Amino acid sequence: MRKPRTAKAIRAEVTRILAAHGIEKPSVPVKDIAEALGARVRYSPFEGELAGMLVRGDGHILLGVNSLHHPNRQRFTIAHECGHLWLHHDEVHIDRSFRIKKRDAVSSLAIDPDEIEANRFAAELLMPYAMLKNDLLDYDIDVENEQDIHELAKRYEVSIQAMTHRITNILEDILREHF
Amino acid sequence: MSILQTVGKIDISTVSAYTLAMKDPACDPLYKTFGELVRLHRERQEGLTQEKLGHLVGLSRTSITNIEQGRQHVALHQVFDLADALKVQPEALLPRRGQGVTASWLAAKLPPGTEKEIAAWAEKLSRE
Repeated sequence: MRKPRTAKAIRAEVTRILAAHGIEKPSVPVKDIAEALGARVRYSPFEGELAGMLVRGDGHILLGVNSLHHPNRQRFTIAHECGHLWLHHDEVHIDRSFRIKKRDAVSSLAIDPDEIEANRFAAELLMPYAMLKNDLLDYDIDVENEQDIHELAKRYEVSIQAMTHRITNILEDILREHF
Repeated sequence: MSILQTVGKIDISTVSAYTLAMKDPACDPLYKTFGELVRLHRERQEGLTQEKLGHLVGLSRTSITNIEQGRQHVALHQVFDLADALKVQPEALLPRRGQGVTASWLAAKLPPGTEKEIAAWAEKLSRE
């Protein structure tokens, strides 16, 4: 199995996309970006383990989102599918929303380079490095303060969990760059 | 390696939606619909039991049961035999295009084994 592209390589791709669409402030309009990349974004309720889907064919790119999920989760799904759209060429990606306890499902997703890349892409698109770094520095955010993280999550329209995870991941880069 | 990746490597766009749908034994909507039509026409004729129909076409009662439930795949000559025995044109036993199995561009793309619910969901989205 190939190695997934690094977070930094994917950051460079996403930075280009954001710049091309003049997006400088959160929250990032992921649906607009998906459409700008050529997808038709469609929402529909699905009772079961499905977050979203990307299908290419006959000049169509269909990006389906499970509308029963929380709006923040739907944004993540769109961002994740944008990752597949931008980085991968398979005709179909079906993204099931497995629970953590399903060990096999998670471990196979966790090592699938396409999925790792799409998740990195999604994190970068929803919480772009430069934007988040500025917010962390400008607003003197205390990463240990729950209220601060809560405010940031709201500003970026992502879950608190996603924001916490993201800050943990990029903190080292920020420290290396600035201190 | 996930099934998605495996499928991604072959050009499934050249395989027809019908052929793809047949690869999954749990998903044989075409034969199910055929079976339902056989049963419909058989039951229209009073007293035509599965056993009698089987006798008319040279098959066992079990075979007729299986055909009616879509578990047994009939040969072309059997379609004609069944049609004769049921006193209908062979076309009457054939599912309409799009009935039982969806033959849209989307159906052809989904990997074999995709859950029926997910396929139906995607199909609905693609028509919006």
